Amino acid sequence: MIENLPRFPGAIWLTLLLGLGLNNIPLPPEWAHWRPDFLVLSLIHWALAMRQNVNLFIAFFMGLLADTISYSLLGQHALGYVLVTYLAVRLSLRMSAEAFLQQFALIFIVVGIFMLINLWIRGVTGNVGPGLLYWMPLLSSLLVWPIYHGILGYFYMPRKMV
Amino acid sequence: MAVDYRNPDATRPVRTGFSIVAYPLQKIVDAPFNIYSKVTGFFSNQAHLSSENSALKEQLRLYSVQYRDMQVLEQQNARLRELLKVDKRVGYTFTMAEVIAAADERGRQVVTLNKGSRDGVHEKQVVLAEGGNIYGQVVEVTPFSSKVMELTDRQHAIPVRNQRTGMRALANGTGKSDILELKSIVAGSNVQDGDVFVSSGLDMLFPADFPVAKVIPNGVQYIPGDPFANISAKPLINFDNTREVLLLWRINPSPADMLPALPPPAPAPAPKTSATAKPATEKKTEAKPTNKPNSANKPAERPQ
Repeated sequence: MIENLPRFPGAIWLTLLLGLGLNNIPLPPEWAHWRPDFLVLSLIHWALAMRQNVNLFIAFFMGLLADTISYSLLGQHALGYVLVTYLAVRLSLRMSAEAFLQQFALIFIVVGIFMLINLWIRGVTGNVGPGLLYWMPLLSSLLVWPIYHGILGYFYMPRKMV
Repeated sequence: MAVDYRNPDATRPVRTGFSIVAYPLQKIVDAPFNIYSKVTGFFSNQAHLSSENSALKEQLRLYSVQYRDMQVLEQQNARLRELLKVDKRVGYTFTMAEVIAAADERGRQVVTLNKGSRDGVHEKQVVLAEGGNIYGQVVEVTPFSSKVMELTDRQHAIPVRNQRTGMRALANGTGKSDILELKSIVAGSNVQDGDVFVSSGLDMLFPADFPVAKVIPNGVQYIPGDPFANISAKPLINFDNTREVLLLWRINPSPADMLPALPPPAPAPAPKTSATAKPATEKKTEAKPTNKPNSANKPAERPQ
């Protein structure tokens, strides 16, 4: 059996902060519509790579951090990230980690649910966004995923268990 | 979430704590842009710099003379006010602050500044952009940074006044960085394309007579059957490109000088005598197309 380990202590935290940083790089508004949520992709990546090390509390903490940065409702992103992590860990058990098509399906479902929940919360609090443009990050998440997954692959290494 | 929605004050400590944690991250994200601007500044053309320098010096000379004139006027104004027994005029001090991050939540137009409570920033402080146009107000303060809600945020509204006619209105943010919405304007009122709306100062927060927005071409729309007109206006600042802003502090005259019977005066060059001032929190304001003589005759003043 092969188990993955973080390359160095704090690798998970570093990649999550990287994702949060990428989420907050200023972009012109027409580009910002296409920005995928890199933090969600990081969480899915770790759920696929080492599901035993993924912690829902970390996801919640990062979500609150994202909420304060984006000045959204406190807990909106936190709820979404916790759900993303949970779903990704559960679904990752049903697929082989190398199959790209299965990964795409997983990302499509998980990111879709994440965005749907965000949209609901926004609708309830009276902050309705632009129509179909809202769903663009779903597409760009799929496009960015192979590259991002490859880059994050550096942060863990396989170890054979005997 | 429900608590945060119903009562934002309750979750404020949590927000502040996380903001402090997030500040280094925002600094790091901002660092490449900061370094880029510094490097391009360092390598910019010498001839360009010297010409700019001379132009700035000339401007400074001009402004210093104008400032001297202003001081004379201010003294005169204070003396006349004393003679007339009206409240002293409210003055301001300014500090530059830099925008280090912008929130990426659709509909929100909130930016983070690199000045916080250790620099004296407080909540509900007014922020101006270059040229003295109103930028927004401070909504959250940590020791090192502060969050500023722009005029275009979906949850922001500012009472304004038509510079040409003196008609009052309320400018709501739309969540888009280049459109403000003026609601509840009676359809028969006289608003034209290109009208400039300035802040009215009725909210006791924003100083009066600072330019806010300009009605865009074909921005006045009437829907048949709707008693109100929908007016779209373009803010006078480009919110997407603004990087340096001015924080504004009121220098209140000492309380002994205040007349106790009156509400605190709006920071206007002329005293407000209207008793119809409404607080900023009130969302719906009746837009009255009547000319208020005391506000319409006031010359628009743009402090530099």
